[in-house]
Amino acid sequence: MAVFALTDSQFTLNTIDLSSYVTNIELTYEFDAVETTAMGATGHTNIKSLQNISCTVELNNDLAVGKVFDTVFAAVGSGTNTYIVKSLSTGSPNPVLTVSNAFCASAPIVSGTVGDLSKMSITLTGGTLVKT
Amino acid sequence: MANYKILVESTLGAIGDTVTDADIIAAPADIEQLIVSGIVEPVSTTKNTKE
Repeated sequence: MAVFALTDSQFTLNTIDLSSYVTNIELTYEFDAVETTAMGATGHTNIKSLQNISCTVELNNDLAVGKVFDTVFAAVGSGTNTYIVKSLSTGSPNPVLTVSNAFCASAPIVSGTVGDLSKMSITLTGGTLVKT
Repeated sequence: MANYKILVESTLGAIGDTVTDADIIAAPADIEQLIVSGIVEPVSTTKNTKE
């Protein structure tokens, strides 16, 4: 597969497919580093510890039942959110990145300047990421 | 095995469809979170008794 433009990423939050509302997405796969440096070392050495997952998603808002507002509102304050991110809607290879037990601390449920498009930006932190 | 009725369109299925707890776990999703979110509701298995 060649390089590609990010035009059709998929984002599903708690089984609600919000892909058509997403304008920006960044999923960071990270592990905490635990230092193992000992006497005799010539530089720092580390091993991985816990996953430290973070996902920031910018969405166009939709107040319809079961769409952006409802889904985000319900996710805030919960530490059991599950979300799925894919770079493409179809095609192969196309890794499916599933994060379980993510926490959503806050969401700007009303935000904007007069005349602006109503949007939200949420950050989901923690949880466990699995690639399939 | 408990059953749940889908209340909003989602990857679980269409509104009104019934899914099991196994379906939700396989989605994957957290059952309690979906109930709290109003995405599904438990289907009562209590039988009506007529006197």
